[in-house]
Amino acid sequence: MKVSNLYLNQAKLQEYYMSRVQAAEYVPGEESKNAIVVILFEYTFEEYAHALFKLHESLLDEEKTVWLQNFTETHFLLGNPRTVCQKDPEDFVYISDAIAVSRLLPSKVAKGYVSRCPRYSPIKSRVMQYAAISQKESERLEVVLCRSDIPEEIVLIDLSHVVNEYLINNPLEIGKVVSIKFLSEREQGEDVVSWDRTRVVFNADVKEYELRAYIREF
Amino acid sequence: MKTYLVPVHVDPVKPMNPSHLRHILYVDFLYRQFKALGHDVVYLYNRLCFDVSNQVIKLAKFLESRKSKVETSLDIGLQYIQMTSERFEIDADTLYEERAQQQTHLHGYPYYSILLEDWKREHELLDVFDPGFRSPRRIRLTVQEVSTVLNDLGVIFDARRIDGNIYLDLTPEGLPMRKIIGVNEYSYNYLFIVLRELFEYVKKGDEVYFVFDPDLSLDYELLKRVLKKYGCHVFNLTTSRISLGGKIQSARKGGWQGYTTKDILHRYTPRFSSNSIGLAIRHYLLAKNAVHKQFDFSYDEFEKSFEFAQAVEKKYGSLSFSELIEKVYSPNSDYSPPLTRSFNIWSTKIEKNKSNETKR
Repeated sequence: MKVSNLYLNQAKLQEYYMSRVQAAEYVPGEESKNAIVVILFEYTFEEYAHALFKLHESLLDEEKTVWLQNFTETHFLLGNPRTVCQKDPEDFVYISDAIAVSRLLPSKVAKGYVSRCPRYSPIKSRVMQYAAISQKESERLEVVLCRSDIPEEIVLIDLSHVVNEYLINNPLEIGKVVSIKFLSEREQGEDVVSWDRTRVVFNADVKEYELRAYIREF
Repeated sequence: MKTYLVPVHVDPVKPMNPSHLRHILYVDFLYRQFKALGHDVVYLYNRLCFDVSNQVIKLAKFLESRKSKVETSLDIGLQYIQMTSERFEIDADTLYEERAQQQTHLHGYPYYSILLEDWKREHELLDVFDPGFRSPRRIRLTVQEVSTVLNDLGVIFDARRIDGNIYLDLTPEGLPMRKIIGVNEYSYNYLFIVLRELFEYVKKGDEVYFVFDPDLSLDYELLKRVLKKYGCHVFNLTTSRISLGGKIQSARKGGWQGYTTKDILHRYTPRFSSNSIGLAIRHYLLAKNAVHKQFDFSYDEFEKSFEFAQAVEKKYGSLSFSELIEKVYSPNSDYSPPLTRSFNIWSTKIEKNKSNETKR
């Protein structure tokens, strides 16, 4: 595999993220106007990423702009996706037995779901092993997570933003594959120069993002 | 077809205040009406439901740990306030262990001999049906059996392997999920206890009347929908709290001193007969102030209700409430009001009947 535009893309991504982080910082405590709802019964990385592609596909141009310019909350809720989505299935772009991902919803609508389902709180200390997603014809994106002890909910948030924001700004061309790699804290420590700031970390308390995602194109 | 009257059980952790009394009198009114009209009515009550409640177990453990000497219901209520202000807690293992003990031995707690005896006496004086303070029943259905029924109804979300809980799931109807039990079979909440009781008795086609505090409306809306899916006809009835000294607050914060049922009875006995007090208090708490209405308890206002009691006594004689209901609904009665869920309508019709008779 040939690595190209590695630094350029990394810088681009950082730029996009920072603009959104700044936007978020300027509105501390304010209600965001849009949000995403993810209903989880059983989390599998592959299926979640697959659902995120559907989310990305569903975004209209103006919604993509909104996503980039505003702080978009993502609510991870515990529930049976089939039953939770039964009332308003049109709110969702992906529904399976394990995961449902909503389209970009007005915050008021998202809060309705938040009030109906408990927060998804997986076991924080779980060490996760992620497999790579194979490239699919319709989704020319490969996401690779290495063995990680990153709390699951952080990965969930990271991924939704990394996938979506990268795709908004970098429409994929046939044959191009993008690899997103999340690294564990241990790995970061070993290779600080290369991997520092290559993950997106969301601090829910202060509503701030920290960019640490590493993306490269092949 | 049976009619099940399913009230929220008042936890025996304090003396009965006017809010509790109103709730109990209202359920009693419904129960006696159903009986008088020939319904096959079951007052679904099991003391075990509160023997295993968090508050009751906590209070029992608090009294035990402080070696508190309690001799009256007031003492118990004050200890309950103290326990709350100290934020006394018990760990989950203690709670589950105690629940297991209670479910097996049905022994209740030592302080019941004071508090429940008072309640029983007050019920007798006010002629309120004793639903069974001394006769707890074992729960027959297992957790698995209840879960199976709920699963068959499609209203359960079993997330035990994710967060350790089982939820009632009526999200397709826009209602929030509600935890009912955790991994441990004793980690249930009151909703699970109610469901466990109901599924042991109710059958498709039965009528179920829930009576509860409006704060619990959302929970009871869930129960209503579950029971409807089960094939029952369900009615939700609420009894609002009564403010004392201008405040509506939980009994655990106090403010009920001087307004307990014991205080009320003591204040008007022997000036009035217990039949009169019983009628007057029903008129004041259920008719003059409809059950869904919040109001501030006032002894001055309450005393005006003795006029109603005296008027009824003049027409029907000095009768206990149960005798009065039977007389009013008896086949030979000159006036039989239909079943009503409002004591207000019922009492107004009795009074109207009285004035019609006067005109004649």
